[in-house]
Amino acid sequence: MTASVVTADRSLHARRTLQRPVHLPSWVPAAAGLAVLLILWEVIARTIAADKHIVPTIPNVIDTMVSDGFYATGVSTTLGEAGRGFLWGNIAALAVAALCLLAPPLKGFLTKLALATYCTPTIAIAPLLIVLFSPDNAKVTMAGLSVFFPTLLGALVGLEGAPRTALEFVHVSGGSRLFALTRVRLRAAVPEIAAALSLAAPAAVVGAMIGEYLGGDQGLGVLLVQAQQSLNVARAWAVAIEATAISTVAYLVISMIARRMAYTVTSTEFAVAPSRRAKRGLRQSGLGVVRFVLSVAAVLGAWYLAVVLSGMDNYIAKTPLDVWHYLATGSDAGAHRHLIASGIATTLTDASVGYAAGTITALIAAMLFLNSSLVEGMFLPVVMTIRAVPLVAMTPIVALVCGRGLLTVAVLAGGVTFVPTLVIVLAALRSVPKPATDLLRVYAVGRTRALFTVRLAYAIPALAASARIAIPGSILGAVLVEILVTGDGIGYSVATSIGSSEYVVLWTALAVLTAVTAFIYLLLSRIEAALIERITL
Amino acid sequence: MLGVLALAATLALSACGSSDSGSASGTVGLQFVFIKNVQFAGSYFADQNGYWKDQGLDVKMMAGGPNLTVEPVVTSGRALVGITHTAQAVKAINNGADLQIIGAAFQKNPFVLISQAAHPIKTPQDLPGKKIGVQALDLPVFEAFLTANKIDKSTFTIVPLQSDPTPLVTGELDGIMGFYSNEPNFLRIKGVEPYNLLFDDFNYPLLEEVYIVKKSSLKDPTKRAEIVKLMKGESKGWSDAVADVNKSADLAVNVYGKDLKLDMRQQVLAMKSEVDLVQTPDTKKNGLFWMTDAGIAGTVNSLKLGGVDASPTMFTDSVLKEVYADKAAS
Repeated sequence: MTASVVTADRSLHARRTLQRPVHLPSWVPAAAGLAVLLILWEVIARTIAADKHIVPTIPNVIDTMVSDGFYATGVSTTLGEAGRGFLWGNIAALAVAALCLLAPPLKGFLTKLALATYCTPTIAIAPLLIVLFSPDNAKVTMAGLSVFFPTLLGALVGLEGAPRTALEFVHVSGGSRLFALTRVRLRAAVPEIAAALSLAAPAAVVGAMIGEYLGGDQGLGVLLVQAQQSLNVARAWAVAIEATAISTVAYLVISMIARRMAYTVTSTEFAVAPSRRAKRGLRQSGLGVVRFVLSVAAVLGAWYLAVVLSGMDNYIAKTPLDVWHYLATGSDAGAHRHLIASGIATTLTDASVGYAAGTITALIAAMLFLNSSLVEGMFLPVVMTIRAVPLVAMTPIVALVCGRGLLTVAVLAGGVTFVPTLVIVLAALRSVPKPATDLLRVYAVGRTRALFTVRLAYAIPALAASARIAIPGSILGAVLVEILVTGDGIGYSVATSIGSSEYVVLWTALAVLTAVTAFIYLLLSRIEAALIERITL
Repeated sequence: MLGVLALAATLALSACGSSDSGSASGTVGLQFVFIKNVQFAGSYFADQNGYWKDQGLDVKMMAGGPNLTVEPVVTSGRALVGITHTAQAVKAINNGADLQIIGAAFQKNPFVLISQAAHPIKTPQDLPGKKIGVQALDLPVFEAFLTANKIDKSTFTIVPLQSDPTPLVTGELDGIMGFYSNEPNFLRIKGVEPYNLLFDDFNYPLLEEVYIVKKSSLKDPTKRAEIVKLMKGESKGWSDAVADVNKSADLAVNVYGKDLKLDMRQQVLAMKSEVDLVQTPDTKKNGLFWMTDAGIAGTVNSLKLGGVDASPTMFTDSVLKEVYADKAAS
């Protein structure tokens, strides 16, 4: 999902072309892989899923799609919403990234604010967005929120990774921060930003489609709702496939442009290492704590002010004081704390199931790919496009196939985990230093043993790196499944509080969920930074 | 801690930006609880036949969806009138929403226990020994229905049901709980004649698909007049709709919901079912949407059985009185 994923992806492509000795054009195994999957689908549809109104046959889906006219208005509506969300979300992200570099003291606060947008499930705030914006703009906002943080992150990585010598040159010759930003940093950040944008494209489609669950006259999300309600399974699948197609195309087009632009960077000195951390003395950590408390206070203040200034009906809009009252001072506060805590616990368990399922699958896939270039050639392109699949937007279909239990949780929360983990782990397994592999070869260690002894050790930091993105992703996936399918965990509190107008529960649940997810994210970032520091030292 | 910043950020944004526009341009919003299918046929007729325009009212019909709650849209003023589920409206009022229920499209509780007409479940007393499918979300209502009829749920089997009613067609289940205008028609399309046990006929009456407005709007003479005009249009529109099922379905499929790919046959059947819920001897006497005192009392009681605390003061016929007083005069 982040820039680092794409960077890894790029090096992976490069290596693949170097290694393959067979002179087949790469699309041949890719097409074969796709064919295998399609045949598998058809077989399932005709055997175990026959007459169950779950998995339609391929001809059935194609017939429906053709006779429905390919959902032209639906596609254009959803693309329109996603496109505007993509535009505004990315402009906002780039503006905030620039602000972070021009006024570094604001960075802590701004990135935490942005992180909160990433950790809050947009589907849960949709009922509030619809009050603040027109129905159309609410969907655009949801699409925009979906792209904001990943793009900000990519932009920051890129802008901060500008060649140090050039920056120092600007500095000593008296250039301002603005000059450094526009003339040096921006140029250096082009590949990272472009890469982030390519992943933002499918994210915007997902955001728009989930927004369409609010209702509307057109759009793929609306069509999916209608198809599901009228038990038209073939149409539900047809719509889902078109949604996948448009987000895949958006992803491929933008990443193609991204790859082009990557070569325009002239500098050879491309610093990817994290910004060096000063050794922390007691005073610094004390300062760090103060700064953290200050930014949390600023955030709570912003929340309070925003609610007061928005003029929203106070039966929906709740301030931090209301939440505090609900959790700490009001009557039944103990029961409320228990409700929220047990909800979060269930959600984290669901997320762990998803994360474990996704990670294990990713590790197995990585090993298979590593051992057979044919398997890799067949399925890697399919896997790469999986990240463009608006999986969460298809929750209703997944629930139809997998039922209303743990399997759906594993598939959806795991699906979010699978691709980033696979990409990063695969890159790590391949980049095992040559001396290490040479040593293995000299001692004639078998492939499998080599894998378990040496390569996996190198995959561990990679897992930590992917966890930072995958774990918050799997938590969000779990919440979504809980809201839409299983009726469990904190998602259940979110859904029932909306349905029964207990908005203080909604705000509390979201505040706690966001805090927990953000905490995990920050913790994992620390761990990753520490691991990288150890390896690079 | 960091909490809900996405919200705070968007709130801040909207605070600086435009406040609600809804009624400023002379247009009033009518918020539906679901997407534009035949469920709202009366409104389509009102629009199509100019029942609102003739009164100088410009109504914007707003589609709903599975993730939309109607109540905040109405309290925020984005819609003047909303169509919503009774229990949801009552819960919102209990939590401080300034809302009032001014009419009910469905005079009867649309929940049904469906069985095959060949092996019908005609009364709750037929339940013992049977296998009944109930969707997880409907379980509280089903249990309240059992309580209302003093049926012990250990005397039969309840199995979780997905949205697909096929297990009833195949005979895997003896009955399923469903929605009067939904599942029974799915059975009909599959060629199986359903038997419907209406909850409404067995101690579980409910006025449903209620119209809600802000209480404060009722006190504002301009807004009140607009509400009366809107409901007048609705009433005329629904009179047309119940009189012409095919045209209702046609308006849904080909005009108002034309991009939803609605199925004509399903929509005709759904509308036929809805007529049974909308038109009753009471409405013939008092006018559509009318809520009799007995109807309100029954609704309050049924909601109470399901753990929802309603009160008759949440409902008012004052708007409908104006709607129909005028009609009688003209």
